[in-house]
Amino acid sequence: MSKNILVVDDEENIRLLYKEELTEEGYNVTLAESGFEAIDIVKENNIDLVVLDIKMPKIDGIETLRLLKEERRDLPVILCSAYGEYKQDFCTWASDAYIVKTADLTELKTVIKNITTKQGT
Amino acid sequence: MTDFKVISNVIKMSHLDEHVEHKLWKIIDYLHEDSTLGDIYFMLYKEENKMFQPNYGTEPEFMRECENIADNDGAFLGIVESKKDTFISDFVSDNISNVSLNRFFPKAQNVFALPIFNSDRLFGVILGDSSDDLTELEQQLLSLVSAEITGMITNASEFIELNKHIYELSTLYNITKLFKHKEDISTLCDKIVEHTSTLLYASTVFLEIFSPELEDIANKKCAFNKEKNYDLDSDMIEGIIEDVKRTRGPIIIKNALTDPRCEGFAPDFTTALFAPIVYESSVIGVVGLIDKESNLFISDKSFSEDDLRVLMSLSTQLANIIENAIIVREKERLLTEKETQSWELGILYDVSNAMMKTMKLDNLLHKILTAVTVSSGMGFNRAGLFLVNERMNTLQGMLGIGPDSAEDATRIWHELEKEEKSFNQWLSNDTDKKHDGKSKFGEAIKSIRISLDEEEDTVIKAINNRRPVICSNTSECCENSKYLAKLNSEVYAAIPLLAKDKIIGAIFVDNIITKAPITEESLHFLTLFANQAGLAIENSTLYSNLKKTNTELKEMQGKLLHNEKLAALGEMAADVAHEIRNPLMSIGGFSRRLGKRFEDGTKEKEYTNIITKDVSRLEKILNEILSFSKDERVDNFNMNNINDIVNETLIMFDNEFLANNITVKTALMPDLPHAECDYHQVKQVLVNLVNNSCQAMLNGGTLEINTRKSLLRNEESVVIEVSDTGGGVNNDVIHNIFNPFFTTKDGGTGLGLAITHRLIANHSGSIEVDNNPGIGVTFIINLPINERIHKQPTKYRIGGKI
Repeated sequence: MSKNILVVDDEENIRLLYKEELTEEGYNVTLAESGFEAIDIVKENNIDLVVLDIKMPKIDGIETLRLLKEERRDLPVILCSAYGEYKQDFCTWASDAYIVKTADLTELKTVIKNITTKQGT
Repeated sequence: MTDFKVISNVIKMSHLDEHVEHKLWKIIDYLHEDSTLGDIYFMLYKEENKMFQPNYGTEPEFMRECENIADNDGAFLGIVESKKDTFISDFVSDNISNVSLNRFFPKAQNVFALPIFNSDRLFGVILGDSSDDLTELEQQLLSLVSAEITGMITNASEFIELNKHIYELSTLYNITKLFKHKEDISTLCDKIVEHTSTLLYASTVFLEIFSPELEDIANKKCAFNKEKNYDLDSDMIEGIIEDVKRTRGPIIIKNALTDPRCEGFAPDFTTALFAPIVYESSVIGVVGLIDKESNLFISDKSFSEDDLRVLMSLSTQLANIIENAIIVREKERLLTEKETQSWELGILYDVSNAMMKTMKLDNLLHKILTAVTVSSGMGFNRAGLFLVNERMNTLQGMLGIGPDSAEDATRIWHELEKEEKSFNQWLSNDTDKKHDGKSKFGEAIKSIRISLDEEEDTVIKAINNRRPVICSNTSECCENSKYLAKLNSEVYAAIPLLAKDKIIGAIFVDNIITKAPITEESLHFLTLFANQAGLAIENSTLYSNLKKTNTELKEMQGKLLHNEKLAALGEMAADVAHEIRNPLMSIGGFSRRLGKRFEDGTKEKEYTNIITKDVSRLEKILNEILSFSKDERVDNFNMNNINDIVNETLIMFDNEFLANNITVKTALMPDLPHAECDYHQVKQVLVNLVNNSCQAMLNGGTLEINTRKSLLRNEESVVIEVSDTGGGVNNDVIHNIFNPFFTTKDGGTGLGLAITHRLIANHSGSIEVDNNPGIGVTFIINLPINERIHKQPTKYRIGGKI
């Protein structure tokens, strides 16, 4: 059974790229364009992993991360940001991985695969 | 005796233009012949010795035998006291009371005595006799004659007195005139002596000066005499002079035969007058008059108080002359001194002016030696300048100016003379150095190095004692300066150059061509000059240091500005980078997706690949820009094993090594101490270096990485050496390799080594480049083991064969 992955990003093009790439990898991909939407989705759906952008309007990725972990402590979240330096921010340490955004999604796919494999079915 | 006729003749005679004495005698003769009167005599009265002296008589024989008669002698007392014409009849019967007159007129019956006097003075008395009683009329006539004679003598004596005063005055005037002459004082003395002799009727005048201030007239003795030579060096005269010196007062000797000062000697003079010449309360000479010449009115050969007065005023005048001479001489001496001083000051002023304007050391040294050598300056034949080299502990010859031979000198000096330059022009000349440095002497000076430890050496002695020395090759001291032997100098001087209290060098001077002696004065002046020169050299050195520091500061400022710009640029770049990243991700991601839909070999596939590749390059540039501009304040320092970091880095590049046929050799020190560092930063450094090496060795090569223990700033450290055989970097650009955005690679960002350098700096470490163009390059990184004690900025050094 394929894993459910939630992608949270305020940019539509990026969301589309994630969806197509990850769908191709065999994941069920749900999209959210804001942190609040993401939290709602997580509450109502069985999400296995979240790919979360940091710099977003309204509520940023780090706050979203906190709320998500409050909701579901075991939910894996991969922070995926254009900013490398947030890696130094201890608030991001709560995430399961930190990836700097790049056109080549190989790294992201590897990390997702590692995490979901550990989760088992 | 016809009364009117007699009186008219007497009056006529008294007005004859003849000497008064002759007129008196003529009147006496006339009275004798033309009347009933017998013999007539004139007795001259000498007030000084209260005597009547026979002067003239109608009976000359008697006159010759007649002695002086004291004025208290019998009838003469009455004459002196009463000053009345006396007519005595019955002289014979009255002869007892007239004893004194008896001898004149032993047979006379009627005797008369006519005193010749005016209110001031008794001149004498006319004595006569007659055989008959004199009538009342005759008596009145004789009284009239006597009054006429008195008048005549009074007039004459006043006339003589007046003449004498005029003569005195004119002589004094002549003497004073002499003072104004610019004659030498010795000749002046001779003239004064001569004039004084005429003025005071002295038969001998002598002058002795024993003033030590005036060398040429000290012990000057001069004398003038009209008649005979007195022995002026006699013990007696010397004794008197000593008395004058001692008492500082005049001495009058009225009669040498009876004077106690002349006792025991046989004086060959009668009377003498001595007066001291006093200058500043000490007796500097004595003027003396010996024997007064007699004349008709002054017959007793002794000097009067008036003479003394004149002599004293003369001696005061003499003192003034001598004083003037001393002052003039002093003035001249001071003037010469002043002239020298003002010349010296002028030179010093010009020199220091010129030196202050000269900041370049070689120009300055040249000016200093010019001042020492040009004829309008100090005019030494040759001059050399030495400066202390503190680093080498030596005194080092810097510059020498001077001719090599006499011919050379003649030629050069002739040329210089033709140029007719003033001292100032010499000094203001910065470019014309055609006569110096190139001579053999200049070369010899430049080749001289004297160790400062050679304390016995003349020059070193001079600078250690801080005072100039004069040496001649005959004197002992020169044996010690073997260094200066090659200058072939016979006599030379070495003058220390001081700046404040610091010894900075020495000046050498000699007069090898002209052989002119080096005087104390010139040496003294040279010392003054050397102090100025020393200061100027010190200033010049300070100035050049200042200039250097200023340049450095400017560079630093430039760098700071550059860094600031970079920081601003970095901040902006970071913002831009983040904004670009999302669209790039979108472009790159979809181009990849698009690429998957095309078959290999199709144009579409090729195009999407190009897009994909260029997007990755853009992303790479973004990463590097961001990691460079990002303020990496949040460091994560831990004790790390550098060897582990090296190994991990190498693993990352396994594929590239394989693909590019690169051999990797490592020599990692087994027990390398752990170093306090940020694991990721050190790894980044190694990644950058290894990446550079791989880029340089696309056609294969050897990469060598060594680690070892070392020291950095005397603290324990770890060294990582990364060498490749990638051909190294062109030496023209090696200096730029740590600058941001500098790259030699196609497609390089130019940030790799800049970031590396920054990261090493962050660790207070150092990075060196050993570049061997054509072979390869070695980077040597030195990281302190305990980073926290080394919080200071890193400098990179570029070594090797650059």
